[in-house]
Amino acid sequence: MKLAPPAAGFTLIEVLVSVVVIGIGFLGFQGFYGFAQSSIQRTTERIQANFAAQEIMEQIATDTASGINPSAYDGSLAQCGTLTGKKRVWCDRIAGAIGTAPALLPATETRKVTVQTIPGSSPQRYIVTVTLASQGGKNHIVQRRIVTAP
Amino acid sequence: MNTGRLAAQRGHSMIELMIALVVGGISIAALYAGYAVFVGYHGKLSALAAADRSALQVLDVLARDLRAAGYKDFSTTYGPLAGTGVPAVDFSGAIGGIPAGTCGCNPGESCRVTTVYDLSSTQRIGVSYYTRTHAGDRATRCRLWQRRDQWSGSAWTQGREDVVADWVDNIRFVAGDPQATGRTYAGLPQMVTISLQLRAPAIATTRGTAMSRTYATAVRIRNVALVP
Repeated sequence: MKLAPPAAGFTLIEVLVSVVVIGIGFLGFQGFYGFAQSSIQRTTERIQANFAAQEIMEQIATDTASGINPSAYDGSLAQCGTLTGKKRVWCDRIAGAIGTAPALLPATETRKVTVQTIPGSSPQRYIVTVTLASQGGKNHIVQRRIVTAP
Repeated sequence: MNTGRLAAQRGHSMIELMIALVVGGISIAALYAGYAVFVGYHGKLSALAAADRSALQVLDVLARDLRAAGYKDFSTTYGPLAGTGVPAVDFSGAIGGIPAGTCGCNPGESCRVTTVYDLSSTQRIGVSYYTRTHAGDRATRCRLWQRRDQWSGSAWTQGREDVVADWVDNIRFVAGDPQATGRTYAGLPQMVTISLQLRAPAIATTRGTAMSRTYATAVRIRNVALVP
């Protein structure tokens, strides 16, 4: 009676190859976490941009109710160095929260306040639009509101 | 009967076993290291997301109460809000004796606020926010509390307290655009800027990388602004 030949185990090379394969699998996980991280980053930017836009809106609404013509706030918020007064404060705050304006698009388009007068309204009403793009240009938020003069 | 010869069985040598053990150990260690890295990532990302979510909720709650400040019900039994020693917005703790914050405050700035408004013709409430140190099981940290007091017509009845936010590193309320003299709410702010710095807790802090984020927004107090 002959016994079966001894079962062949794994060779060292085979084990090492499997370790490498598992390592490549882990790299895939790594990519997934990178994606998750960038998603959360984008969400955070969006939240920050919305808070900043809300702050601008509330300030413009308050000033308009106090008798200031909001048309003074119309214009770009992209280049903080060229701005003064409240627009400078907003611009610096936005830059601190979501980074400086992206250079991908024309600077005037990425961050701006637009004030349109509603003709024939009494008391005078204005449509204020705040547009903010994040530094990487991946987020773009727009808030719009009607503000009323006293 | 043919017995033949049994083939000699060859086992593994001690050296072979040891090598197999070492190789197996190394691969398990590598797997564990990879797992630990992912647990770290997960903790960091969850903590950041939790901070974001918490900030959204807290600023929403604060904004709602601040927006309502100074609202007077038409048929209230308590008379006007203004001029009766019950201001619509207060940062000094005068209303209901709100304690000064014990943590998360900048010197010279306010980390507490009280807003007063009517819920109905018979209910005038003062909602206050203030910080207090909390000696938790994981770490001593700062919490933001809310208290809802009831106005009886002559005094404040202390209401219930609730935690609004945990892991607050810093909070401040900045009054802006004071109402002009001669108006009902003269001197009271028409705008309040809220700045909230939240720490992302959880695993991230235990790994020595405490992260904190600042969220800021402004709220217009419409009643202060619009009442003539």
